[in-house]
Amino acid sequence: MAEAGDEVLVLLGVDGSEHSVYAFDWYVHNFHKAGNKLILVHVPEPATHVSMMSHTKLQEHLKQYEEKIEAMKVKYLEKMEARGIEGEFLRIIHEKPGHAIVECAEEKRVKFVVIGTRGQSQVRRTIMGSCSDYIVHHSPAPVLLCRHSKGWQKEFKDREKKEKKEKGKKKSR
Amino acid sequence: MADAASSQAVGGQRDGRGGDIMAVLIAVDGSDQSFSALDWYLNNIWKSGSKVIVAHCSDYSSVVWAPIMSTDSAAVSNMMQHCEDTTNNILAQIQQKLARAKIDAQLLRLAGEPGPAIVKAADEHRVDYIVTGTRGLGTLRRTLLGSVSSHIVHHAHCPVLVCPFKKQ
Repeated sequence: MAEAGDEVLVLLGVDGSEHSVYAFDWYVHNFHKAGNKLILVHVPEPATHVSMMSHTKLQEHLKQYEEKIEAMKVKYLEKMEARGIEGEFLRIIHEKPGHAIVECAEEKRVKFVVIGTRGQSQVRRTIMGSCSDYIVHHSPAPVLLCRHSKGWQKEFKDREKKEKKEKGKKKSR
Repeated sequence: MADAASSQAVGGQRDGRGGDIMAVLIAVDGSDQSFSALDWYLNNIWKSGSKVIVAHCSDYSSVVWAPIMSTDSAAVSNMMQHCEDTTNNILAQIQQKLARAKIDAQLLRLAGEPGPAIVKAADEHRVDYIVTGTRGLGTLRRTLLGSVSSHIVHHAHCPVLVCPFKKQ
């Protein structure tokens, strides 16, 4: 049982997809309570086809890979800072993202886990991605599964525009 | 129709509510797990002003799958009465819990297949998310996620909060 002084830790699984952005935005807009600390966990896809690459090609590939992850990290850290949310971005190397996230949730004793329903995988045969599926079934803590509705991208963009306008108005007063 | 667009809205913007007000539907079948999910929500997520709907779907499977002949009307009506009593018992427990927590919530009594009924109710009431446990009263213990929760997770049109059972 958590005591009054305990930090509330929230684990958010992110990959490079729009689904993660949606899950993050939904959580921040609707679920976040001041004082919650976010742990963003990214489990990069293992680099495939490396044995087929030449040395220079491999260097290039790794460089792009790192840049992508760094860009993701910066993006999310900026988003959190903009909203005054305390959080960190963790990169965990693991073959199976679902397992990595569940292990991390156990280790850090998070209050709950936030995840989108799909990721970057090209396979679209199932209603829900395999990683999210695994997490929902095995997580020790409650899991918030953020399934997006059709118009969400537009709704979030509209809301962000509105927030910017309001901030602008406040500043000019 | 404007409703078509607003029904796709995220956050507390459905029904024209303000951005801070969240509507949630909590599925309770009467099992310990479902009450534990309800407790978890009330203790950790609930914010004053939230619109809370607790939904209970009566389980008539014992009547539907009864091995006795359906022509024995007395036996059938007894079983129906038993189901009715069980349901009322569960509804009373839910109401007590909400009253103790001083939460103003709407209690919904649903019928039919629990999974689809809950998803439909969530749509009809335009909730922002659904709360469910992982298992319920079902007897099959082979899966990690019961059939109803599994259905909700896969078919809901909004985010779902799945609460595993923690034995205290």
